[in-house]
Amino acid sequence: MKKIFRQYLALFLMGSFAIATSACGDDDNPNPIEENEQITTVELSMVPTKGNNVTATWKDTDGAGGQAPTITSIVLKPNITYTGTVKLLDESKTPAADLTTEIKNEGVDHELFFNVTGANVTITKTDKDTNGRTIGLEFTAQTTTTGTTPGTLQVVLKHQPGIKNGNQATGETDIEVTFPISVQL
Amino acid sequence: MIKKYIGRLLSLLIVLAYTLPATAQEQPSNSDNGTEQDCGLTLSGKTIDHDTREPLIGATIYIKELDRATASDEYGNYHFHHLCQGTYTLKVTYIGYEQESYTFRITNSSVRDLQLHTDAKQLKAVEIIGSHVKTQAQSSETINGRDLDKTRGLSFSESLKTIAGVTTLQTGPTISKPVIHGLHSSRILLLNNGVRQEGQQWGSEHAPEIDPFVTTEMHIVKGAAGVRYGADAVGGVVIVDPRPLRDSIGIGAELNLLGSTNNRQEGISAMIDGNSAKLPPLSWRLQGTFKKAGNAKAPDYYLNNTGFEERNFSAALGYTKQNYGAELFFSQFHTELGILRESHIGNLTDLNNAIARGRPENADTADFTYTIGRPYQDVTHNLFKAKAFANTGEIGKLEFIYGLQQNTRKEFDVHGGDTNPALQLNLTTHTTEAVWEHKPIGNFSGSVGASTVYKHNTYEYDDFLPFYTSITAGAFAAEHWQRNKLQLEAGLRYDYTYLQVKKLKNNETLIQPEYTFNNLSGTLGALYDVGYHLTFGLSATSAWRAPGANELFSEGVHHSSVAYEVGNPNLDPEQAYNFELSAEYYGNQRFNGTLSIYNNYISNYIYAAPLPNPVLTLKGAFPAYAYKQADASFRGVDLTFDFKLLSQLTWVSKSSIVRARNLDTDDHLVSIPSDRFDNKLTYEFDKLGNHNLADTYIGLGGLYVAKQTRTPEKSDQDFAPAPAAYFLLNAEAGTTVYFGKQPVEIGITGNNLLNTAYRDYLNRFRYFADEMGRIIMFRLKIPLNIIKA
Repeated sequence: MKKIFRQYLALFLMGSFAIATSACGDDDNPNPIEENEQITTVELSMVPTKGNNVTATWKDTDGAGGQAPTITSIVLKPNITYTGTVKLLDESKTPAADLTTEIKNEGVDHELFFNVTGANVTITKTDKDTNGRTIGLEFTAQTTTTGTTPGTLQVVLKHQPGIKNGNQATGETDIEVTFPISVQL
Repeated sequence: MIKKYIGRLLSLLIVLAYTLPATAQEQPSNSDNGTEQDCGLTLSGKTIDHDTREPLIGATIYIKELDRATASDEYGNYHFHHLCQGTYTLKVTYIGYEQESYTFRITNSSVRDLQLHTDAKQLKAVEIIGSHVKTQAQSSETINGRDLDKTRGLSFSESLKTIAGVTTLQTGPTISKPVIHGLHSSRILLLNNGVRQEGQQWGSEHAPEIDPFVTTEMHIVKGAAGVRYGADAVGGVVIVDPRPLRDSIGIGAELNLLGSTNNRQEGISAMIDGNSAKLPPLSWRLQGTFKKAGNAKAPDYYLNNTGFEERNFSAALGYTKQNYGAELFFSQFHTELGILRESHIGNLTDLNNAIARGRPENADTADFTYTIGRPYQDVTHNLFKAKAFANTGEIGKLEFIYGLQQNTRKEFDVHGGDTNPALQLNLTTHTTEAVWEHKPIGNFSGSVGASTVYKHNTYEYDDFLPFYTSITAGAFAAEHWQRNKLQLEAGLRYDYTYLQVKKLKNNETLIQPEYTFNNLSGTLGALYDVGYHLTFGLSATSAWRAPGANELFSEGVHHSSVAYEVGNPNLDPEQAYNFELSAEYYGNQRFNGTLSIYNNYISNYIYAAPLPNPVLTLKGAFPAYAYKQADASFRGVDLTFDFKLLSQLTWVSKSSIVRARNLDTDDHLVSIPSDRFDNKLTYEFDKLGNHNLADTYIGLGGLYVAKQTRTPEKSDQDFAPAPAAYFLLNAEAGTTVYFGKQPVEIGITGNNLLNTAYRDYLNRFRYFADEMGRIIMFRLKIPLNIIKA
């Protein structure tokens, strides 16, 4: 009785071994992922009516996790109007890709929002999409008096396909970054 | 504490069991010209061999008029209680004996012995016909026949929900997966057609790739069951067996048509099978299903992009002789599942906005459409199976199964105008299993077996899950012993798993960590038949699960859970020890039920624990989670019963309660089903309208799901409080119409008839939208006999 069983068992083990080894033949390795275009850098350039230009970047070239993002602080002079532009770059690629134009062309579906707390800076969006709604890639920053502690400037880019309504709570967030900002002499 | 409760519950059940039949007043069913009805009569006696006068143990005695059956006990005694006066025909069957019919007229409680004659013809081919007698101590339930027919049109997982202790984890109306005793995903083993289903089960939004129309019977084992079914069966096993191949000469077919309101689902499933007269051992079957549905509608708005389209087919070919046979099977499952557009969000702020908004952003403009847009999933699952068996003469039956599965999962994001998915996962699996069932030796019956699983996973477009290859080999032995009223079972299994992961660190450097895991699983069970329709079961079962590649190596933002997930390469396997006590009251004419109490203790339970600091990304801050291990316990009670209130009116009740705790942090676990109570009244009609209608029934039921008040208190693991309790009113009706000899089965089911707006704690879309509103489903089943023998 045992003899008969042993035959079947041997057959089974041989069979499964054959299947397992033939299946193990594939010796493939993963290829690097071609990342889709993604924004890694938000660059704010501000040109004052007099004095030095101000440039600040929020940069995270390796995406979520990994290295912590690098953030520059914004220091503005009091009682000055700055003319600002926003640049959106993909610096994970060489050379870096500029995605600003893409957002501009899809302006009817996008809007940037600027929220300042703890600093006397008023930001006004100056560019418009084809429907006459603001986009926010161009803006002016008006400062008044100096502050003792630095505040924050939050820059949010919303994707609002077909639902753009000037409300920051609408749609899906593409960017949400925060810069330290202060007005100093 | 628990012991005290169990003791109390049991004594309560015993009291119930003894008092119910006694108080039950039977309706006169067999009137005897005007005499005063006495329905408390007992018919009993012995089943004996006509020649030797030996008692026959386990003979089946069936009363035709009442559709009641019983089995004779260890002394050959049988008894029927609560009979009314009247004339009854008793059919007695026993293997190896000729079937006998006895007709008795009963006016008083009587004793009648039943004698059987040996059947020389039958003595050779002993055949075990499916018996209703329980042989496993662990709780398990089967859905088949009309109960299964009623679920036609629902997804695979939804159709399992009719069982107490089983619910679903949902991602909107289209994606759902089974939850058994609070556990789901990679902790539930699906056995499709005898082959372990290998898709990407780990994902909470990855639904099982099984067409429920393939099957005529679904079987669920609740709790850890590693010995017979292998690693991963930590929470339970779902066994899906296809309909058996046709064994009589001829060609038959079955056509199912489906339709529904709400998402306007339409479906057709057809099957044709045959057995040729020229070559009787050869049978074949072809089957196909097409289903599609558009946007589902919550009571107040359409859910944008929640349609689906499913195309499945299968083919089977079998060659069966008495002592050997072989079977080939191929099936393809393909589905496209739309995902609620508004559930795709950029970051945590968006999620909080959505929760605060209370309804999807474009709820007012969303309309009905069958078109599926982004985001959506496109999943294909191919299964090829080859099976051979041999009755190895003296020693038993040997069965060998080989399975090949190819699972391709493509997930399309909202972004990217190009045709490529955001993520594609390819999983190829080879499985083999050999099982030898030995012939009963004395009081022992049992089986031994060995199995292997080879898995190979690759990805494209996104590296959330790494490449990996794993090989698992296992062997088991399980024995069952029965003597008189006591059954004992014991089993042991050993599994060994080798896992090699290939991952590009920082998308540059290849790392190839290797793992080996090995583990033992065991099972011990006892069943005691107290008599008087009552059986007690006690079981201790175990199962283990190796950490999944996602738990070891996932890294990145998991958009479906709005979380940054960090794998933990140092995880150990988790091991479940499941203890269960059950009482079953069966075979009674008025009241049947099962009560089970369980404690599934899981050591090294793997879960995503929140990290103190969120991860800062350009899209904002994401809450971060890292995989950790802790001891956990899942305790609960399942109660199922049906109670005949009148001869045609039945009350069917199912309740389930689960309590799950993280024992290390002494806190509740997240996403555990809340208490559920499902009650239904069904009225069965006699033959109606010129006897053209048969099996006519109507039913009215209500499902109450309590609010989950036991959510984690010591850490933030959820974004919104658990939704409120809800009650849904459901109704059903069905009949079989005979056009001449051709039956057509018709069924209508209405769910959420009051169009209640509600949200379920286990639906991930509860943050965004209400559940589906009122839906009425229609189904038609036409069995056809094309060529008769």
